[in-house]
Amino acid sequence: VITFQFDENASSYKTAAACDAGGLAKVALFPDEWRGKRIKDRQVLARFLPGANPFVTGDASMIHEHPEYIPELHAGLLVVSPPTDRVRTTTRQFIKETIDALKKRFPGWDRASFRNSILVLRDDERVQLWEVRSGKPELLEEFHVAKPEICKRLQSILAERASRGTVEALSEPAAADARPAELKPN
Amino acid sequence: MTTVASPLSIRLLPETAESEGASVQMAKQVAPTPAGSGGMTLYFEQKVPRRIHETTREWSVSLYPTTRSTHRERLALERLTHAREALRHCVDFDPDRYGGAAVIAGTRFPVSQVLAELAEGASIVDLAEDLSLDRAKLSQVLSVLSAYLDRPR
Repeated sequence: VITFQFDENASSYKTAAACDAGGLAKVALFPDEWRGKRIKDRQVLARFLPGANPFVTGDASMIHEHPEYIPELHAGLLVVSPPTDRVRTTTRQFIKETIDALKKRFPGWDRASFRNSILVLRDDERVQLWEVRSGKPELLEEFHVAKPEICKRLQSILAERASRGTVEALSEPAAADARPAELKPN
Repeated sequence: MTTVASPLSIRLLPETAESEGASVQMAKQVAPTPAGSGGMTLYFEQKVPRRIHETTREWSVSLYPTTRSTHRERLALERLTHAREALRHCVDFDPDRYGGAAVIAGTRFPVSQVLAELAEGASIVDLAEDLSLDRAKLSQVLSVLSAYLDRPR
């Protein structure tokens, strides 16, 4: 069962309960000890990306403003963000609708690995694949997943990217070096 | 936001927005609006994230598109001053948190999402319970925003 790590604005108990009931995925809610602690974007990335669970956020700017905190090998970053050309704001409902739409088009989503992939999910069945290259975010491709052959292609690309390696493969000192100084244990 | 010729407008001074931060100070300067509209422009010494600043450089808020009463302007300034002060206690603008969006103080929860959730039929109680948010803080944010948009009479 795949577990998704949710950012604070998406950390809904109801969503977590619905996922549990569905039996295909689990949701790890934003840690209680971090709530109300003015946690910054880079702290979130530094904590969750080297982890095991793909990180789900509504903050699309993270990719552009903190690429240095997105390592080459990571757990996966899924950004659920409404297109800017419409009056729509991220809500729990928006996140649910967007993810549900993707799941419908993406057979075997619960067995897919999002490792090492940065995906921006839109509610119009479009998925953008981003990558950080030489410290800069680049849009690699946009997929219209309503078309089965495109969806299949996305799946094979995700599988290939996941096979590049795991975060756990980093040695402990290397992983510690990848962490920002302010988050390193004293 | 669009600039509207109005008796009262708020303008951000680009040269004071160099350093990053969030606090909005009291109105620093009051001057008549150009073109003899009969109103005034409030200049704020403001520190905003550069990214936000670039998009808000030109904004003005039209509070009184039809009225030119100085009495109302005074009330508006008073209300705005208090609303801004209250806003500082319940909303954070941190360029390093949630991309610099206005968030509930201390959290990574954008104020825009609170409004959108309410628009979708959620209640404050539901939001607070389902998302582990402070109910009192949510109410405070909405009250302050309400005061901010109100027209004192």
